Amino acid sequence: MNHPVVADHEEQHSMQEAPALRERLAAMVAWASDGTVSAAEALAATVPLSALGVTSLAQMRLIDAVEREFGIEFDFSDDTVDVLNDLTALERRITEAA
Amino acid sequence: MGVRSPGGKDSRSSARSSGGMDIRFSGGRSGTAPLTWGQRAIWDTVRKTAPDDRYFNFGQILPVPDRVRPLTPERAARALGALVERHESLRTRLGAAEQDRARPHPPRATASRLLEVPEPWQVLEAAGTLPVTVATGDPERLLGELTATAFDYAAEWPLRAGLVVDGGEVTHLVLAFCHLAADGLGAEVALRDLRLLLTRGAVPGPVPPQPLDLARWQESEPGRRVARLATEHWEREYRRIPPTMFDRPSGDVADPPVWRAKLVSRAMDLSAQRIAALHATSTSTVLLALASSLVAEVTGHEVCAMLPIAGNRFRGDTVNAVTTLSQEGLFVLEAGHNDVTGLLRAAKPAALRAYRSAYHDPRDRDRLVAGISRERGATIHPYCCFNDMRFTDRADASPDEPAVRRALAETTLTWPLRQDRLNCRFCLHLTTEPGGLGVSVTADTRFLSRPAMERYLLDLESALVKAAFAEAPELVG
Repeated sequence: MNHPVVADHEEQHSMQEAPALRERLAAMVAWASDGTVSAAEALAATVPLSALGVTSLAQMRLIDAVEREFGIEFDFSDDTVDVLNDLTALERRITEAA
Repeated sequence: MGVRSPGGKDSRSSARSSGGMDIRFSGGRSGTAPLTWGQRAIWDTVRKTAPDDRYFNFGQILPVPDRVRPLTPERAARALGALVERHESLRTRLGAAEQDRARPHPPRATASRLLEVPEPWQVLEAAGTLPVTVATGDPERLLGELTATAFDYAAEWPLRAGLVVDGGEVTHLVLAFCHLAADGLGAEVALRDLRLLLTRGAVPGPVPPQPLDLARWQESEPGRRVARLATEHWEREYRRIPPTMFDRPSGDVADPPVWRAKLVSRAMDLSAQRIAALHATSTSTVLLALASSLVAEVTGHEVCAMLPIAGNRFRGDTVNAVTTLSQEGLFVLEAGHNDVTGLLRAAKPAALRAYRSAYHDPRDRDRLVAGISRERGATIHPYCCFNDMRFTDRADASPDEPAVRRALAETTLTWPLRQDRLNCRFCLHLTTEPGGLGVSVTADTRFLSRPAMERYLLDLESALVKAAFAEAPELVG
């Protein structure tokens, strides 16, 4: 299958970017939880991160770290908890804000 | 830093005749600055509670680690001196504001006169002498003595130190903190650093931000932005919460009017842990949610406003700061949730909003409270606070119902405190106790009688046990 060169490049770029962001977020979860949840556990999670041990204190540390790192602002609406509990949702929030 | 042994020649600590010694410290910079947000919040509370402001004194006891035994009083004093040199908050007192200092004859800040000043400044000294009490016997008794009287905020160092000795060997170091110098988490850091100074002679890692640095950051543009975000939450919620939570006379005033009832309950501990595990949250959020819900029920309000004390150590660099960062946040929850699942679904984001709002400038809050109170024609203040003083928060779904119900028989209720004044009407404290979770209510009996305090605690225990074995949601990612 032939793809235009530019599309190929974009696709590769996006394939390289996505895991990097996800892994950075997983590392931030590990830091915010003082290692209670490892980066590998955050990446492999099939339940909310809070079920693995990310407490409300860790969530606040994660919010602060993500806001500083990516220059975004959480609105603290009711769905903020869901975003913090799910690496994919967090990744999406950052990508959409960029 | 130099050391002089008791009665000796060379330099740093010296014995006093009546069970004490002096430590001379010399720690680098001096300076003055406005108070940090945390210092300002505590100062306001101290002023409103004086002369019962000893209420805010607290302390820590460090048993001497085996590996540094036998420890002489001189070596212990050296470590205490190094601690005071590392953490500027421990050599910071309060004084006149800069504009008053600049006057040709500034008013001398005495303790009683300073209490009249709403906006004193922090005054950091580079060097000084810290008196240390040396005693024998029970370290808890020494801690009780060191925390028994209010600090002289203008003249006294905000740390009272003591050594417990046995046959010339130090067995315990005792630290009593003025709340302007440290909160509970800051005191934990101080204790950890003191242990490192004893065992390794130094504390590894960078020196954390000091109160002067924090005060300057809080006045900077990034600091003001954080303050604005917090203030927006206070403003939005203060327009809709009840003016105050406990607003009806109890008709059963005790003498003195302020009392504390304390429940120690393993059943409550196990239940909170089980609910936290089943609902993927922390026991702190579980207890905040259920305590608020019960306040709404007791007071009859449709919305409950509670002020949880938050540590405000969310930024990486402030984790190890020895200062008072804790402040009240604003937690607002609607009444009338049918089950614990719905209650916690609402409480989790409400708790995050409360924690975010805790890192605020009390001057902003004062201004908006005054404005909204004028608009609404009533003073707005919940006078209802929540302080989780525990250092660990564990979730565990394994306790079964018969075991938890059996544990109810072990619950104890005591009345450990009574006093004349408190700047609140209802303060709920959580502590870790040997017998389980400690939950105390310190209340003004003009608004909540002693029997009602007792009933509140027992009802909270029942509600937790019931919720622990209610149907739980399935956790999906």
